[in-house]
Amino acid sequence: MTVGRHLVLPAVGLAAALGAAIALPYVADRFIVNVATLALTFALLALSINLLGGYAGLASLGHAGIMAVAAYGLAVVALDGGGVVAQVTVALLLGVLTGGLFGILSMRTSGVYFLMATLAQGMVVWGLSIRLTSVTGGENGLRGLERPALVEPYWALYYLAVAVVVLGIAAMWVITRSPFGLVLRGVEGNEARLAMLGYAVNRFKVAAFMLSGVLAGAAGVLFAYYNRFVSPSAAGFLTSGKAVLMVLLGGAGTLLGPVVGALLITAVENVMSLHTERWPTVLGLLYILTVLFAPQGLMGLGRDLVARLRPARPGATPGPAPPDEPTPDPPPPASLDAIGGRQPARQGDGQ
Amino acid sequence: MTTQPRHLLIRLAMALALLGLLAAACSAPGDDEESAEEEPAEETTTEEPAEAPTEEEEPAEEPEATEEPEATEEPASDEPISIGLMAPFTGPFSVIAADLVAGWEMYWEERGSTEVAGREVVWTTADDANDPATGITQANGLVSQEGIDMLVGPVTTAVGAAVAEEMARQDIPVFTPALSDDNVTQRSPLPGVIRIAGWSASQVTHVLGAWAAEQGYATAATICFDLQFGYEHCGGFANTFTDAGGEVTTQLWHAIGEQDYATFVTQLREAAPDVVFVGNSGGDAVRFVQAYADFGLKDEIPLITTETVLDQSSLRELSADAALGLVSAGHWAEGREDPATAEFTEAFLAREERMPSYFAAAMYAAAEWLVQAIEDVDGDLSDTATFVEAVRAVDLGETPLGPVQLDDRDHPIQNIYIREVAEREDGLLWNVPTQTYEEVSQFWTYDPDEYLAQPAYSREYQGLDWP
Repeated sequence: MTVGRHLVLPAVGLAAALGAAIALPYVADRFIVNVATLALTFALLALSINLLGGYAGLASLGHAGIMAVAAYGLAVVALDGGGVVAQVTVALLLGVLTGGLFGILSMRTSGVYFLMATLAQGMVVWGLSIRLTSVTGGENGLRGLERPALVEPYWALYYLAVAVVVLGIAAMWVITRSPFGLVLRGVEGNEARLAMLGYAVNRFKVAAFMLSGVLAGAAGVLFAYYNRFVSPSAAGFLTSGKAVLMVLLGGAGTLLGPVVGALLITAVENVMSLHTERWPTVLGLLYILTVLFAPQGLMGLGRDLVARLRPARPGATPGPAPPDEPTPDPPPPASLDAIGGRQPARQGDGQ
Repeated sequence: MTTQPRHLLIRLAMALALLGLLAAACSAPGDDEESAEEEPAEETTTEEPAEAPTEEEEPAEEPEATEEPEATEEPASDEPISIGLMAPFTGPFSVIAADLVAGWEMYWEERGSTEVAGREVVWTTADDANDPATGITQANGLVSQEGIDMLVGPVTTAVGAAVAEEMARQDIPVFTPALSDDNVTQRSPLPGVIRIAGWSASQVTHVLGAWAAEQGYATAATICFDLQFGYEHCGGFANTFTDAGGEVTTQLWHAIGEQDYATFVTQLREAAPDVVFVGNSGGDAVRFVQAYADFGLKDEIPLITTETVLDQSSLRELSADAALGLVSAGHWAEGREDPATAEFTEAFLAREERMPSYFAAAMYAAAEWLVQAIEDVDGDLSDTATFVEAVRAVDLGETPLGPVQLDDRDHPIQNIYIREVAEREDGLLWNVPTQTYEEVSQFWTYDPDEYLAQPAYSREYQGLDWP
């Protein structure tokens, strides 16, 4: 039993997925590629939510607000004549700052109260985008936005989205494996104990929010370029809620779950709606079935299936199936002792 | 351990079965609607070919089409003319979308043929779900998959703005019978958007303000949506009402989706104006009008309102006590006696078993309008600019809405009716016109340039001191 063995399946899967992603514009028509671009944009937002919700147990219902602030920032700079570098820089900076602000405002809450606090933050952005007409254009939104020449064709924007999402996934992989990521796990496990061990939990939370803000900001950049238009609905609760559902459907706390969820939901919304007006029913059933049969999300279900099938293969892995074997992520530590035990040297980090 | 996979398989099988059953149960009615929308060719079989094709016919590709081929000239192209219909079929505006499609289909059924100037006309519906990003994706899908020559819709501002921009980039004209924002054809016109059979918020309420002053009301209170739609409805009313010497004493604004109107109704009672104007739509209109009657204010202070509040899409939900006798202004009046309107209303009632909203009438007129324009260019849509000019030049004479023509900013000049809610013999409520203002422009009687020099109506600017 070697480490390589565990990675074969994910590696083959990832390579296949990446190959399919690159091949898509060559085999599919413009509509499908556009839908895929939109899906990847939401995948970034879902990744951003997953960093907080999936790993630290801080499910945010206001993340579309961060994305919208970045998108509005980009549009304002662009309409003011700013170059691409300025546009993207402002958007990402706004994403980080808004993320940090959201973090500071909600760091003392948890559970339902955290949901309510983040929901309110998202609605504040939505309200501002409607009321601050001098900046946001009110309900009419900001239009007349041009894509940078390099990503003007639809397929070029698609490849940009693929590249950014791959970067986002890589960043998530690094973050969740770092000591920082383990502390986030600890926040979910037992925040009070983590604090007692000497971690400045709130600083970790705000830092996580800011990292999450970068991803949401990147989603805002793609969203603005995709639509060439920003309107309050980008900040609306429906957008936030949809992104959270993407995370839950794909699998919270898994690396690729949010991407899978985003692809699935966007596809149902845009492709299935061509064939039936009942597409919300299909989506609803999908949620119900996920909750009933795959509470860990689709990625979680896949992980369980692989874990169960593996011992059946003779001689593959002797002994009971290791629970974390094929997964790209370690499961949440059973208790904080795990963190304390594994990382004794890091106690007091962040003080 | 070995039994668990089997359990899982059983659960999965159950899940699939459940999904299949529910999908079958749910999609059946949807499919019925769809088949009617997406296969216009079939409709021609059910129609008597009553109106004999006059010129330029060519055999349709579908064997179902029963018209006699009578080709005298070469048609412009063998390809069908493809039209995209975009509306929010899901979500809070789905009632509107259903009426739009019903009006559109009814036109083609009555026409008896989907062939115009020798070319088959086909259409595809797309659901924008009232979301700009979805709208853009769907519109692009219509272009790349259906090869649409034009887009009709969407309904709401945000989607309209986003989609219009995207379509203009691809040289696809957009026709909007439902989008009612003033600025679409005023200060920041949307590229490529023509408001065939449409209207705008203040076009209607300008008339109502002037009318209210004529009735001798000296003071008015207004209550509108706290967003652009509301600012424009209230602004139009306040502007012309104050021009004629009236005074607007109180202006209240409420959020969209307001559930409880008790506090607002109380404030209106305390303000004690001669007349109250309300400008909102949908569920809010229903709740407000009901509350106004429930609190007994209907008998104390007359309530006057705009097109959307007493449109059939709201009126269907209101009780007769609350709605009877209320006065509103609109570019559509289902109780108009003119045959063009009366025939449409009765035919729609027979087909849909409900009274037609303005959306249905506008879409019917829009179909008529586009057919006229396609005939005027002999079915040749290869040059968008030529076709758009033909659309602008169309003069239909009578439509269910009355006579309609575009001004030089692509906005209709049309009748605006002062309407009163009355009960029909069959117990249904409808709006009967009591007075008609003919050839009303989007600028009322103001000079367009002076009018456009003013800011757009907003919470701060209601035109009280202008001109």
